[in-house]
Formats: sequence, structure tokens, C-alpha cells
Amino acid sequence: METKDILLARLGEIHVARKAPMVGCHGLGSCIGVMAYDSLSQVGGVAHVVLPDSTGRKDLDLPGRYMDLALPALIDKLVATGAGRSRLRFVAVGGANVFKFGAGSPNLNLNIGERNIQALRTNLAALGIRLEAEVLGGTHATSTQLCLVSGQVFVACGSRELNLLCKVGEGRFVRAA
Amino acid sequence: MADNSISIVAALEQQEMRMSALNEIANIGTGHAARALASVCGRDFLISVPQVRPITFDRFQELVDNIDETYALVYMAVDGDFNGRMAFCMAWPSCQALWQMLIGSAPESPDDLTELEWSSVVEVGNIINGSFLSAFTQFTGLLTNANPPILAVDSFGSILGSIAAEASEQHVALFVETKLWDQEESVQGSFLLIPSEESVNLLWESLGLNLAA
Repeated sequence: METKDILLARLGEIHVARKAPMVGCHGLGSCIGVMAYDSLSQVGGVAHVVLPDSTGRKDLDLPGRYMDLALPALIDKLVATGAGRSRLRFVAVGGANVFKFGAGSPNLNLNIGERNIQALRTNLAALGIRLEAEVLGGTHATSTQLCLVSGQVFVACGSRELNLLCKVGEGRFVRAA
Repeated sequence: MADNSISIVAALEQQEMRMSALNEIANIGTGHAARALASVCGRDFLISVPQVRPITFDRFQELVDNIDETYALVYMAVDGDFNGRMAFCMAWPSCQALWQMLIGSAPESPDDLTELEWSSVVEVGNIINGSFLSAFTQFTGLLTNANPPILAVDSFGSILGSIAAEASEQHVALFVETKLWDQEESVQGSFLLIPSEESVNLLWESLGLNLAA
């Protein structure tokens, strides 16, 4: 997989850039990579979100860790880098359950992917934002990359190669399994 | 100031003793696990001297050089005096070699596993983790109870990220860097121990290494 000239967000990180390099997340399991892009300023960014909710948590040093903090933090960083708030378009990838073989036990929290997706939708709705494209849920890991020149989003699912998901800004809703 | 530096040195020495105690526990645990694996596979397994690496969940994905590499992880909840999570990790080629020994054939792609394939790895992981834990109990006197495991076969980064989220309330992750391998070096594995904070304190107490003194 091509990883040259790309800013990959690790767990809880947010990366924002203008034109170059590409931004993305590799190795998304239950985590969600939220990407946002303004095609006019060519400013875009990504947050690698780990958990749905920061309520009652003490480890708030990384704003990208929790969905409720990650979205406003991502938007603020993008605006500070020159993006127009109203021109931002959003794409989200991840929220899978990779622990799919066997029974496990009730004391494992194996629905984090689902809860992350729910938190994504609730928090986006509260901000009045709709997703332009999504690859959410399922049982396969995903990786994703956003090209800041073209607005193209690429997604790899399971052991497959990166494929074009959409071009942000075309306004056509894309959903892949 | 002198008093202060003495106490700092004492704390560091204690940390060093704790780390060597952890390494010793990992050594005994891995030895037991290798013997269990040998009896399942009908061949001998060797082990390297384990190195325990404490790591925070944010840096979890740094445990591997290539987060895109496919791994199989048999993951389970552990309860008892010592509680938390535990996992046995194998890279995909190792897992394929294990299947060859267990059922005489191995799948080509991790995307489509038959029930026989995944359940045989779950069962072996269960035995390996269980024998690691029973060695742990013998050494520390702390009771452990293994719960039914669950298996992920996917990119190592995605599995570690999912564990970081799943186990984030436990807060302490110990990666046991060890190798257990057969003569042909076809199967290699490592362990992940994720004890709860109170379990770690209990462990220091049981080993006489608590800092209260």
C-alpha cells in the first residue's frame, strides 16, 4: 500500500493540511476516520477517532480520541488552516467489528464500532452536517486516504487494494459496504 | 535534596525489580504455553527470552513496523484476582503454518475462513492463553479465570486500534515480546497482557514489590 507523502493519523490524532501531502488513516477497526475537505481552498483533514464519548473520561489530551470532541476540533483546525466552514464536506470510514470469530464473553465491549457510528451520526446531526460518502460498519478493517489536490477519497477494505470511493464536492452521496 | 534523590533511586530500583519480575513471569508463562502448543501440534516449540514492554493505548499501533500486515489475534477477558485482557498474536504466515499442522490445509485469504479454520485457531489460542495464565497463577498466587476467546484476522493496526478502544478503561498494556517457534520456524507468536490498574497493584503486593515501603 502506498504510504509515501502521506500524513497518517494514528489513534486519537488529527491532521490538517493544504494541497499536500495526502492525509489518511490506516488500520481502522472499530475506530472511525473522519475526513473533511474544502475544494476551493484545497484544505482538508482527518481525525482518527477511537471512542464515542468523552463524558466522564480524564484522558482528554488528544481531542481526536473521542467523537464528541473530535468533530469540533477537526473543523476548528481546518478553518484555522484556511478552509471555509460552510464549504467543508465530510466522509467517514471505519466502525467495523474485526473480532468476528467465536463467542467471546459478555464482559468484552465488542460493539464499540457500532457505538462510534452512532456517535458520529448524532454529533454530525447536532452540527447540521451530512456525510457526502461513507464506508461504515461491517467486519473488515479499512484504510483510507484523501488527496488534497483533487478531493478524491480512496478506501481499502480487508485485504483488498485502495480504490476510489468518491471525489469530495461532487455532491453525490456514496455508500459502500 | 539528598533524601529526595535517595527516594528517586529507590523508586527506579523498584521499577527495575518490577520489570525483571514481569519478564520472569512472561518467561514462565511463555514456557508453559510452548509446551501446550507442542502437545497440540505434536512437535517441539522453543522460546526466546521474553521482553515485556509497557505501552500506552495511544501508541498501541507502534507495536508493529507495518500496521497493514495481517495478523490473527486470539483475545479474551480474564477475571479473578488478576483481571483484564489477554491475547495471543500470530502473523498470517504463522497462522497458515499452524493450520497445516492442525487440519492439514490452510486458507489462502484471511477474508473467507471456514468454521473449522477459525474455530481451530480459537481453540489453540484458548489453550495457549490458558496455560500462560495457569503459570502466572502458580508464580504469583493470584487466581485467574479465562473467559471464552474471540478471534480477529485482519490488519494488525486495526486489531490493536480495536483493542485500544475495547480495553481503554483498563489503562495498562504490557506487550510480551517473545517468540515461540517450532524447529522449522514456521509458527511464531507473541502475547499481549492488559491488566486492570488494581490488578497491577495487587501483583506488586503479591511479589513484595509495592512502593508503599
